[in-house]
Amino acid sequence: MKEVNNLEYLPGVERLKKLSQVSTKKDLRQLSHALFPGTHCPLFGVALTASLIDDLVVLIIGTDECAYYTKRFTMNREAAGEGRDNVYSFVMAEHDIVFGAGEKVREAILHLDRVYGPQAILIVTTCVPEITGEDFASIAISLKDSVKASLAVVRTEHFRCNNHLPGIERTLAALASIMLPQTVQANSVNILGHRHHGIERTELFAVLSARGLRINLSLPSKCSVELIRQAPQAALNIVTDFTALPLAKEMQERFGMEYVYFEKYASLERIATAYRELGQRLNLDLAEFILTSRERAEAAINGYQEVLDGKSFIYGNSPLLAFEGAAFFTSLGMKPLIISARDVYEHDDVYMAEILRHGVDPWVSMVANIAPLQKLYPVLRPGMYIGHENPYTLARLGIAHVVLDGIAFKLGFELPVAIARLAAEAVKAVAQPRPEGVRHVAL
Amino acid sequence: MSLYKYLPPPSDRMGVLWALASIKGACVLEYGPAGTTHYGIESYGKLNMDLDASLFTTDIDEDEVIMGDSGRLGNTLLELDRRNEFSHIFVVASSVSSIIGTDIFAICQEVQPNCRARLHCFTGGGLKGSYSLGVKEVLTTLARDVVAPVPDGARDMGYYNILGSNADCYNYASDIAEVERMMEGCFGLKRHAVFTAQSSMEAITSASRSGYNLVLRAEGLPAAKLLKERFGQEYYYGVPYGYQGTQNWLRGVANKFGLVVNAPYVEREAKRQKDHLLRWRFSRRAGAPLTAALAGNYDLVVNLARFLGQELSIKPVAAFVNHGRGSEPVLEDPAEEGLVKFALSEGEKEAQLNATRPDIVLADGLLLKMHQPGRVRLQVSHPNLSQILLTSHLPLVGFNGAGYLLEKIMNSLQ
Repeated sequence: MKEVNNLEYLPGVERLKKLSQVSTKKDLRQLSHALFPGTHCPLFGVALTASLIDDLVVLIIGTDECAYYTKRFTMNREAAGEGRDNVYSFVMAEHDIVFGAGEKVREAILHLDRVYGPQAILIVTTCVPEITGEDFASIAISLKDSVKASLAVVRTEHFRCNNHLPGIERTLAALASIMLPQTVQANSVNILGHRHHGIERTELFAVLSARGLRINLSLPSKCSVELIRQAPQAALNIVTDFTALPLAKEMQERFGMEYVYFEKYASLERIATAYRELGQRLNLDLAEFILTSRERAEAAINGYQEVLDGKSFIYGNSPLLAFEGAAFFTSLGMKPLIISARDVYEHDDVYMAEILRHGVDPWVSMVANIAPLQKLYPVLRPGMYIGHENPYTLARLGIAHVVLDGIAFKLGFELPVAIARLAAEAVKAVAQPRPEGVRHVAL
Repeated sequence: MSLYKYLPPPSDRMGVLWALASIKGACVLEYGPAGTTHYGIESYGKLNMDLDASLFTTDIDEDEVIMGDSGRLGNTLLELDRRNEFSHIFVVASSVSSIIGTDIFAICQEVQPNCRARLHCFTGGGLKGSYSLGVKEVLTTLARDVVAPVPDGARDMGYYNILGSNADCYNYASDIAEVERMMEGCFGLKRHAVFTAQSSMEAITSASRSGYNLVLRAEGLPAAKLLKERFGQEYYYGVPYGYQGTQNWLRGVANKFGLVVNAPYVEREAKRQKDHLLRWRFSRRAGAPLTAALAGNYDLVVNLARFLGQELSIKPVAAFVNHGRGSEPVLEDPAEEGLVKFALSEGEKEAQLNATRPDIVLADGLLLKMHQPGRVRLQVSHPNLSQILLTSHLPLVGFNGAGYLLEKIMNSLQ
């Protein structure tokens, strides 16, 4: 692979900052003013999350376009067996925007409650009502005694948050409002933030269930409104995605529930630390498990490392924490050229420092702007692209393509092993690619 | 109450985007939240269309919404223009930019002197009306501001353009192919530009070289009038649904354009038509009278209703136009005026279907999901929930379209 020495002269790159210069979200620049496809909006995050919850109805308040696309998404999801189509919409006409829609929305909520009888209604405001500033939270409070369903409100003003994750975060946090005090049951835990089906297939689940622990609920991947109400009966919350941290903190404040942050880490050290904390909180002796599992994972990863060592990569849109994921690939001897990220989160400074310690200083761009990035591929000639991209584009250029969505449900040491295996297989397969279609959907 | 259990009617902005997205070489810039663009991109697959245009978004944040800073739009336009890839850039407002009152027209006027590409604005932002209005705006803009005079001003009378076959026309690929077959077989004419399905900026820009324009949906009428004014191109408005409807359409085209019909071609088709209808009547000789419901775009609903009612003796009992009533559609028959309903709510549609219990439902995918009864159930329009259309040999229009529909109806009734 030809070494690129002068990235500063590449189109758009001059806008970007180097990793060593990045400390806040404002340091994440776009490669171009014109964006394609652009990030998803928080309303999409709500749909991703709420469509997994049984007995919940979502009421979108916004334009016909927002409602149409979201409904389309949940209908597709239900048809594919991946979620429920539980979306209703109140479409704001010009008159509603000018004169207010409060009374009509009130009627709509009463209608949903009376006709469909859901356990809970999630009222979702979008950009337009957030600009006009109608207070739907007050309407929900005023209807509390008039409806059987529990009511919660989520705001999804996209112009204040540039991606879909705040929609997930706020949906999860809003569900705290329907939880009720419970008698705590020993040996039971909640999984918070796991958005993938099949929690039973994860290493974490196997570790817990083998030691007699019961999963009270997995929010949002395996739950109902009734189970959410009873969530405080678990002895501990395990947060497997940072979007559930506000919910865990809220539950800690309201119900005194402790939580352990067990993110989808790729780093073996961080996974070991998370397991150790889990063991301490649950009075489990996990030392032997951690030791043997880590050794086994290290051995497996080392086996893949010789294929990956020295390969350069571009890190795109993936379900992992961007800098943590990029740090893992860098630790395998790979060289990051550009890292795409949607924000700079708490602890990202740690992951960034790990990358820089390898003597590399990649460019950092805002995520989900593939069009100008594609112009750089022939010049940068990365060995690998990690994230959502058009497989045909990458195959034509001989770039290995790694999409992590299929393994993002994994939790524990199994995850970095699966990542390394996937990456090694992608490198080996690059000579004979088998494209599987364009992926833009973030999970 | 504007409460929807299913899909709300698509807006004018969605119509604009759908009509532009199928034009190769077009640059479409959305001035609004990136998430709306991303969401929209994922819906194109259900239209069974390719995103052939280059589509971008500026994204929008609090600087625009609260502080009124609109510099991002100008900067993005200049950046796109510097790429020297586009001769026209279509700027599409969002509901957010419309509500905060950003004057994208003024911004484009200010930027235009520094742009090589010609800038066009669609300012509705989804608040002006239904998708058919957006389609009409695109067709009109293309006719007014994009179609250029041919260098020598001469028109080639061996060619015609199609105005108004767009991605929101469910069966556009097969229907265009059928119109091409008929125009070639009956008049020896070839198709040049389509406004806008499977089209290109190159073809649309040079549409003035064609001798004639065929208007296949009412939304294309203002565009056709403009092209007549600008280039003297005659146009004919109508859609060839049904056997007799197609014969009438061909005669109308011939009369309007002063063309001679290829008599053997029409006679051959008339013979087939006679055979088909004979089998249909024979199969229905002891059957009870049939009723039908229709849903889709205006021209499809009205003309399919005529085919079923006048040619097959199937009584239309419900005819839902999925968009709002525009200024162009003119119903000639007072009976149709009572039958055809524009932009009914989900509840109103369900109530009418439950009251009339039609035997045959030729409708969009959503109505077919909402209303499960019916001996014949065939999707002919959008919204599409699951159907994949790959080929272009199964039209709903023309002689072959009439035959295909009759075949489907007869097989389902067996």
